Amino acid sequence: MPAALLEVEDLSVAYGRISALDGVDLVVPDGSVVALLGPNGAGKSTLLKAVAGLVPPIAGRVVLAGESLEGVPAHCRADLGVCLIPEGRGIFPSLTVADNLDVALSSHDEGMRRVVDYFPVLGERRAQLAGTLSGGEQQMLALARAVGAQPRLLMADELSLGLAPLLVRTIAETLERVHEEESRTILLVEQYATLALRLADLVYILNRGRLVWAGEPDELRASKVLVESYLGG
Amino acid sequence: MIWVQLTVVGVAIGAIYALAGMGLVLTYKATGIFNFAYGGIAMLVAYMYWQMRSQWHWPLVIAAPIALLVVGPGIGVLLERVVFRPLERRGASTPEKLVATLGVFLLCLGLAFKIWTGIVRQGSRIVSGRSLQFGGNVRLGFDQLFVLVFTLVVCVLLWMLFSRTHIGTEIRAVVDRRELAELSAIDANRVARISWALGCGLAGATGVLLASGSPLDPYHFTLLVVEAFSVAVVARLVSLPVAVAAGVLLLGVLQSLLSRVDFGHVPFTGIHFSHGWTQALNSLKGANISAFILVVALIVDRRLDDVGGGSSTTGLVSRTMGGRARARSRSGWVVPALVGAAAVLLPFFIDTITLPYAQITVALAITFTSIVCITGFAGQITLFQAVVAGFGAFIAARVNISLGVPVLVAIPIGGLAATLLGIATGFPALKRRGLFLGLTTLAVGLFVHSFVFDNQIFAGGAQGIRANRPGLFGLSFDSPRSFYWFELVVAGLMLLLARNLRSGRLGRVLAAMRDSDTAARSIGVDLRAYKLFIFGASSFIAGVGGCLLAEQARVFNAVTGYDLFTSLFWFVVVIVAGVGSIGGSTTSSTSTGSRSCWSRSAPCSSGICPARPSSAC
Repeated sequence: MPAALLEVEDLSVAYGRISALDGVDLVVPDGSVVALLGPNGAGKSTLLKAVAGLVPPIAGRVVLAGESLEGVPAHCRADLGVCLIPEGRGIFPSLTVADNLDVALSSHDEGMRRVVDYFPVLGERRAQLAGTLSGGEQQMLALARAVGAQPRLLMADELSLGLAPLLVRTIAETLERVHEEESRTILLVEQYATLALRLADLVYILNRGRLVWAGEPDELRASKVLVESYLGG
Repeated sequence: MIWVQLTVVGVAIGAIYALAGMGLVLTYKATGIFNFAYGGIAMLVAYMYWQMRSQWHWPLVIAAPIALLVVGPGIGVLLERVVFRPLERRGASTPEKLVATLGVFLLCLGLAFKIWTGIVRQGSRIVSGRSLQFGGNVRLGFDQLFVLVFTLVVCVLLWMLFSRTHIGTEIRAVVDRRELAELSAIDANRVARISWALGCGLAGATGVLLASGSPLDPYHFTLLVVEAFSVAVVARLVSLPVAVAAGVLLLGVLQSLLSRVDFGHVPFTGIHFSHGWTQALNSLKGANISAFILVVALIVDRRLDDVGGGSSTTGLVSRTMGGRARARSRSGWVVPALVGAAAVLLPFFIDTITLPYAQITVALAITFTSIVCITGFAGQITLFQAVVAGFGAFIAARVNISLGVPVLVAIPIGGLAATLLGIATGFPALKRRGLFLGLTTLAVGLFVHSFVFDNQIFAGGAQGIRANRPGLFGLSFDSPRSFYWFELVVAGLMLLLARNLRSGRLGRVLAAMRDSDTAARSIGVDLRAYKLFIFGASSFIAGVGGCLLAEQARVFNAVTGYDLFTSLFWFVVVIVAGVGSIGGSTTSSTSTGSRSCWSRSAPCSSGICPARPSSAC
């Protein structure tokens, strides 16, 4: 078992009086792909936001490579290699494709080469405003920004949301390639359970803010009760 | 040769307008906020510079860098930390931020009055007053040359900042999606701090240059920001080169050349008219041409529909409107009934010196109710309500004095005139949302004020027009108490009208329109008709309120009220007191009236307080 890159310990988050996460423990091993599954309102997006530093926890802590991230603001976490592609379109619509990438890339030339290698279409649209790209291209740009930033931990929240099946497959293949070629650690929140299970080494299921199951994808596939209860059959 | 000289002068003046416009565009590009406080900040820095140079006698080399590099940017950093960062953090809507800048604007104005009073000072020159002589008697002052060079340098630097530097891209990223920028390792707070420092630094530079060798007082100086507004709107809040061109050519050169045009003279014919209207037209030349440009730009440029965002007044209004009145229990009438009874009995408990303040309070309650109707009920931002009130008062006074129409008839005529003004404004504003709707109303307000109220032929100049108090069947409402009770009756009628606007189906439709244009359209609401209706209805109420304000003072005098400042002040006061309910209008008017009463000051000229009680009450 590789060392843990991310450890979430007894994490609780609340929006006002409403509890979104309640004492969640979770480990993401270095170089692995971890899928976070669960029904709507389970707290998956909140967990990613808490790791990225966008929402403050009321209890518990987040540890990256043995270092606690307590009190570390979001932009510093991004500097440390925590990268979140948020739900929706993770792009700046008023900026050009080139500016979008420029903002994200840590090493400009190397990052740009990598991006064009993964997403040739973005190279052709460098001067176009990101908001005018199609939905699929916008999501590719969001992924490209994340890949170009060369993060230690890549978190993606519903990357496939609202995309045609063909595009979902392209994005899944890109993620697979990123993981295999660059050994990136990936934490995925995904509605397409089949896609997540295909990529993941480890699966966590959240329900109503609590962790209800953790295990390997094969175990999950074998458990009809779990699939029916939390993944909608 | 005179035209060449006028063009040179126009270019120099236009360069300052261009600088002001660029500062406003920069602030919008860099923060996503249209800074209504821009003129206020410019004025504060100009005063600080004057203080250092003229009062403390500091040398130029110390005073100028402190004013331009420390005071202006410092104000920006302070505002970002204290006002705008908390608003960003809680995801405030565009109208909320707009109100915040209005609040800062009024604060600047109040501070300037408190520290430097309203006395007109002579602004300290930043460069020598000497000039260069060219062939054919064309002169260019050193200060004008300095402004030209300074504007050019700022223009190039800003262009480079946004198109050639990484921080420029970061600034645009933070404005676009702050949270995502933070996820991209950008320190959004640092970027916002830099943006505000830059924006306010430029405001400070504008202020110091505008005040250089010119009169400096809080009220008129801050009005110069209107030029910045028109330049920024012509530039659609995004284009710095267009801002420069608009400032120099449209405002500077055009206004300068226009000053020599004689509307009574037909060129090349020697024919000269001396008709009153040509005199009126000639007197308009001195009026604020930028108000005209602002109106035209806002009406003509349809591309503005796509800018300005944030149509909903989320955050300003509680979501409990529309049909709520139906569910009101009997106990809900207790408080209004008690307030009404107390208001009726009030004259028996206060002296005749205090009564005028009560009269103002009642008139203000009516005008504030009009803001509640249009902003609270229907979600339309209005920044010209004082002008609408003034227009009603102006027409009522005119028909009473010139045509001999009884005051009691003149008041509804004034209300109807205000209604027409409201509808005329509502028509171009039909497609406008949020910020640009507010600006359109502001522009119309400025236009009416500049071209009607400020015109001696129409509005009687500094003396104003006599505003008589009403009478009925030989019964006069001239005495303080009787006029106060007459006001109460009118206020009761207007509040009843407002209450009907928000109840039943009409109230629900307006609430739907307020929350989402798209959602309202999707359920079959004809937005155009309802928007025009609410503009008209609220303007009627404002017009009637304006009549009473003028009659309370016994004169319609646009110099002491009904202007931009009053409009902005009223809007902020009502928002703060609660624009979601009619109670908000009475609370805000009572607080305004009682504040005037306690201070016993003459607050009118500051624009901070809407009206001064007439001494002859």
